[in-house]
Amino acid sequence: MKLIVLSTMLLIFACSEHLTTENTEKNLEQKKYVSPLHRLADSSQTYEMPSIDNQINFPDAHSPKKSYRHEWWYITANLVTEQGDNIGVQWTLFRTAIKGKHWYFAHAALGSDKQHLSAFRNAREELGNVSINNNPFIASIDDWKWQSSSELLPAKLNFADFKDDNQWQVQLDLQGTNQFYLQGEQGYNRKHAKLPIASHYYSQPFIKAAGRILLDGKWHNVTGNAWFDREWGSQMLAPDQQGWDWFSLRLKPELALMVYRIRSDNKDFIYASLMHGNGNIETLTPDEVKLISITSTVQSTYPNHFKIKIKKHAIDIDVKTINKDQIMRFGIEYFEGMVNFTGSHTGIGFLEMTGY
Amino acid sequence: MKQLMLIFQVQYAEYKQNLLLNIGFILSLGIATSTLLSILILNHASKQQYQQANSQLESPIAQYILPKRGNTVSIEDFAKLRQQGFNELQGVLSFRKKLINNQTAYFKAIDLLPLSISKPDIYDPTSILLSQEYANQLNLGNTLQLQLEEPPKLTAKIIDSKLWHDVALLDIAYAWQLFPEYTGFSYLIVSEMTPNRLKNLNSSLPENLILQQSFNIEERSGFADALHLNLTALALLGFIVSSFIAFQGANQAWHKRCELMSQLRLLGISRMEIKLALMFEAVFLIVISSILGVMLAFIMVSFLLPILGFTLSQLYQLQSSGHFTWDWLYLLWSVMISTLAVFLALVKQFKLINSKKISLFSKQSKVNLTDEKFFKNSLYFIGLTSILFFMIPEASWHSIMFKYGVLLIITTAILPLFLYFIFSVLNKLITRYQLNYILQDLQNQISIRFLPLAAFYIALTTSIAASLMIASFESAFTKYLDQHLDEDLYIRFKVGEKGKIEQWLNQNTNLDEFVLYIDAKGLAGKDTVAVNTVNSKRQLSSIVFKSQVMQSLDNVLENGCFINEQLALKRNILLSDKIKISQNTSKHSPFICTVTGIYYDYGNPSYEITLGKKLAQKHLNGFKEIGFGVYFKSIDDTSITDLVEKLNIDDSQLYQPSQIKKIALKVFKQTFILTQAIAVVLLSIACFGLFLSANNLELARKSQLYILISLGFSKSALFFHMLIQWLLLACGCILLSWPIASILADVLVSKVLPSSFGWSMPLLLETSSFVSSSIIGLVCLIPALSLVLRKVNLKA
Repeated sequence: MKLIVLSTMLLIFACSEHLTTENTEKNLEQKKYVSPLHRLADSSQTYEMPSIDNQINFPDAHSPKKSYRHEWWYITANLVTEQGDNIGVQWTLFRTAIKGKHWYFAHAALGSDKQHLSAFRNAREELGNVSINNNPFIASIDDWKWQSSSELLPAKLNFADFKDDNQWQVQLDLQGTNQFYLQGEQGYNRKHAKLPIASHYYSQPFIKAAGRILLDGKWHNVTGNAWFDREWGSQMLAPDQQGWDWFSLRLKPELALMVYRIRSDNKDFIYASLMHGNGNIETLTPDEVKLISITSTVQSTYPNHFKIKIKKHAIDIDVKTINKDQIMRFGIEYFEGMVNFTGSHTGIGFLEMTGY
Repeated sequence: MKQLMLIFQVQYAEYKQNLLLNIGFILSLGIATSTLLSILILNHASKQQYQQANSQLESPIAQYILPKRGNTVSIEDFAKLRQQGFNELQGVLSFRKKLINNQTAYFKAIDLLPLSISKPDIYDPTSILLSQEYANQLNLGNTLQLQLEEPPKLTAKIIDSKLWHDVALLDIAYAWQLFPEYTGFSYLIVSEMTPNRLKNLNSSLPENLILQQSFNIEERSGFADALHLNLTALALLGFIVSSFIAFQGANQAWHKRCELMSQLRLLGISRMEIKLALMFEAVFLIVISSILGVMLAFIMVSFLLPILGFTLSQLYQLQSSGHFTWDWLYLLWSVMISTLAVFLALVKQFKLINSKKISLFSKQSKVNLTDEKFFKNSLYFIGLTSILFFMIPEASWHSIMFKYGVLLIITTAILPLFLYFIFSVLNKLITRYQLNYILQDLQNQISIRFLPLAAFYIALTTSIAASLMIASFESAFTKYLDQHLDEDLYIRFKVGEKGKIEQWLNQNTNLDEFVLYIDAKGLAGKDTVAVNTVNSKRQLSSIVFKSQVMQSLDNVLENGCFINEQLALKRNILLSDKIKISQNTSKHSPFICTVTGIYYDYGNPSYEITLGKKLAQKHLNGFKEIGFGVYFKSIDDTSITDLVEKLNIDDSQLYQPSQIKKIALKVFKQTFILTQAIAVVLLSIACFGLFLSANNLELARKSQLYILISLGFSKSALFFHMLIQWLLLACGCILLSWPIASILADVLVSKVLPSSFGWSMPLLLETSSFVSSSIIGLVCLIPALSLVLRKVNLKA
């Protein structure tokens, strides 16, 4: 009784640990909207900048590049259950630096056409809850783990969230060759038409995924295709740029299309590449690609229908989001989820939209 | 159309003719609108503050993980738990360092990187961050040099965040780098988890760690509710009071309206057009009173919002700007409220004008009731509402509030009968002709002066009841804190710290006494009950009993079985009843004891039983030792500094009850500032009502007053005649309001509080509450009446 009185009284006016700090102060700072992505671009520290002269070697490229400001390892998978339901899975491990200190965080999501479940982890090397080793590549953050048995692939990927009543888990075996597609100019991928903003970027869009997922309290066996991307750099967006719309689409079993558009006040920057199963990559010039948002953003914050036209390769497709609620809300909000496409090609893929 | 224009002209002429009367009426409509509107705006404007309060009430820290031995949770233990998926865990390192200026700095280290990334202008992971307030407290001067007794010499950076006002904040990795003697965390904090997950966490903890529940802060939500309830109830009363005034205003301003409308009917104007014109007038009144209401509400909110902000900041450390931001929704509310006010004020007038006599036969109906009819109607009303009063169950605090709101209305209807009765008695007792004349005249005036008097009576009764409740709360709470927090120091110990603290206490010569607190959990029926023990006279004397069986001290200490009021109310337990306490883990059979005392336990949402220590240990198990209560011969800061430094315990483990008491009382007083402010506003509105009515009523009976002058009354005699009459009426209202306010206050403390918060308090019938509210009422009344009556008198 005494303790309750004491603690009650004390807590009325004493300072406790302020885990809600961000919430409380957020309200004070929401007066003028500035895309939080720009915060990641600002820097008071000098970081190494991507250069066209840098040669990307494997498997070294998979290891952390801490002289750069940020980097990520990113995988998406379009899976199908035994019942034929489409499942989208995403897992991303990020690193970002401030004043020479490195903060790791990971986002993961499991979505179907009806629901979208997502989770977040954060870690620091000093706190002992993150480790990234290469060759074979093993990355763990808290209870989430990517464990390769040789270089990057094959690998096992495990992540889960048991925090709420709606618990979910993903256990995948990833099979594929360690053959990576260097984006841009030998892995030097420009992000702005005029300014020297760029990243180092490579992909592996031909990965076979199989495993099981725990969803709605039941385990489901799943199979499908996965797509891996890896990027690092020190600048995110130029002041005139707001965010990006990024597509990863498997047009055919042996043909993958990656398109992104960085939206700008002046002129949008578009990049696209076609990756073939035989290891060839064809980079397209911005004027060869037409990307049109069909749906007005007035109805919803994010567009849910796009048209992609690449005349040179007879590609004319309509891309539509499968579930408009596939939104990740962890500080920086973005859309990340399954899309299907119809037209000259039919299939399923992933779309990421930021800065809306 | 022409006919409609003609009616408009008549209406305009009516306004022009009785300008003051109509301005008073419109003003009273505006006031009615503003009272309710201002509280709605206040609640809406503070919605964000309430939301913040609620998010803080849902404590972000549900549990702590503490080391059983030593002072550190290792990085490895933290990482292992996170690897098992418990990502709700975060590490905190807290320590203190002595500065060369003899001050002690309290450091708190957490993972600052997420904050540094999201708010780089505030947080910096490579600096020590201090609030200006804390820098001043440490006497750091302008250089902000933190010169420790041992190196390193550190430079702090001022942080513009009120949340970290009493610590030196730094990034945990930076802390380990600066102070290599610290290699882990002091404790881990755990945010809210599902019970199953918590169970898993508990079973996953390594041997050396222990889970400890965070302090409960749900209690504060009760105060936010109480505050909200106070505001809304007072706003509704304010609206009722001002509606009475507006109704009275309508009676006078529209006095001749029936006559005019019947004349217009005789001139051949259709009934439809009259109705249309009246409708337009009603719309005009709604628009005007809405605008006026918004303006008055704006003034009131500008005055009340900073007080509300201040109250909330005292309760929750919320930093509220207190600025008023306009929302177009307020205009809609204003129109809705003023429509209601206009409808309430004019319903009787519309009914009269719409009566068959005017609409069909163009004859004026009788507007005023006779005294006999008035008293008869009052009796009918009292009879019917009394039946309603007895029919309303006392099931929840809402129904109790409604029931006693009805009682207030019944007594308002009794008021004219009561006044008539006391003036009749006085008239019989007094034999002086002049006084008899005043009293006789007054008896005849009661029915026409009823409405402003009713408004005054309601405002006064409410104000006294609120004042009595606040006085009772303050007195009961002060007594409770005085008795309950009677130690000089309370030391809460972590696992493994008991021995060293006890040793220090035993060696301290300045110590008078110290007691060890132990507690356990049990079940009374399905309710979880906290079990406390008492083992000394001092411990026993800290319990504030509501009721108690008298017995010898030894018997109490050995066999005492007391329950808190919350448990008594929940399980309907009376003194000398038996209570059965069982424990899931207990090997003993359920323990049954006879309740020998029920004690007050303000603000505690839990159920509790307090037993003699021997009795408890004999029948129950699972007792945990939680802390020491320490009584010093003379307490000074050096004793505490010595304790902290020698034993290296955390600041948060020490509580100084005297300081807590002081601040707690301050917080509670702040909570009711707003209630008091609104009660004063309410009284002022009622006095304004009397001011308006006195003006109109006395002007209306000018002809009677002329007769008095022709009978030889001097101007001053006439003035005093009127003033004494009004004061007698006001005193009559005060006389009735005292017992009714006492009943309402008693209902608030003994029925509404237990029903809403689970605890009651004894009612304190403090004379000053009665006298001060009544004097405030009279003080507002006398100048208002003097002004009006002088004016009437001069005209006479």
